Amino acid sequence: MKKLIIDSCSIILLAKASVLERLTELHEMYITNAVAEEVLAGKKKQFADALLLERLLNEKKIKSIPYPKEMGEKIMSDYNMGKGEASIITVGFIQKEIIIVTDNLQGRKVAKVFGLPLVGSIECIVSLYKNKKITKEKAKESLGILKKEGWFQSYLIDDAEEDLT
Amino acid sequence: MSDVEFLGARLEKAIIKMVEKTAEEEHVDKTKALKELILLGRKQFLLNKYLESYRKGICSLDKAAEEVGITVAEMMHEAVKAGIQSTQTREEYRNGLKLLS
Repeated sequence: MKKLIIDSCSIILLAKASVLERLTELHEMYITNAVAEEVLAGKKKQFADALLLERLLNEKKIKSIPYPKEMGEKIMSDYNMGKGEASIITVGFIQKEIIIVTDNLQGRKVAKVFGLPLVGSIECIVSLYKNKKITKEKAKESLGILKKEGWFQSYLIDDAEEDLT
Repeated sequence: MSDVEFLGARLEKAIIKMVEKTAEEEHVDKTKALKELILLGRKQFLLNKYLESYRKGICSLDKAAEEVGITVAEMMHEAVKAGIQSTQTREEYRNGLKLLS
């Protein structure tokens, strides 16, 4: 079981792919209050990802982790980030064993520059299959949803589908 | 004291016609039609500006959403509509898989 800290973008994508809750069975999942605020803002519009996150937080399947606000604000300012993205990068700086889950261009760029452990939603789905938390059919279905969403380049999803062996 | 102020502006006839047409279509006066068009235009202006900043790697997606005044989920939808995709590479994907194994 690994420790993952996940941003708004990946929560939304994994919720759409209907594997977010499954991921909490495989890994310790964390967010920050800032990320929660960003996603839960969708509750007003009844977005399914927001309603799901609220439940997972209430059931403590995803936990909120504190972070030093001053450092978060510096990262926000230095890299022109929102509060949520800056907060997970801040946690990544402090807790070296935690893996950052983000599909946000800017978040990934900064994580790469500083050599922070980094994964995206596609890897999360494939790892769920490889760890027998979801079937091959489910993994294909979830990757298909991501493909349809259009967030990722098709060849990456195709590679991931090939890895479902 | 009123919180509205007078603003004088010279507008092309085509723009004035557009305001008049909007007022007629929406059954509102020209002032209200103009205000609506300005607000909508400002939102679209900000959306275009921050989509471009996100595309160029100048700001994060949540920052862009905050500046435009929409949710992150809505901003993601707008980014996809604008043809912006993840730049994740095969190597990054492979490294990510290793991290999770």
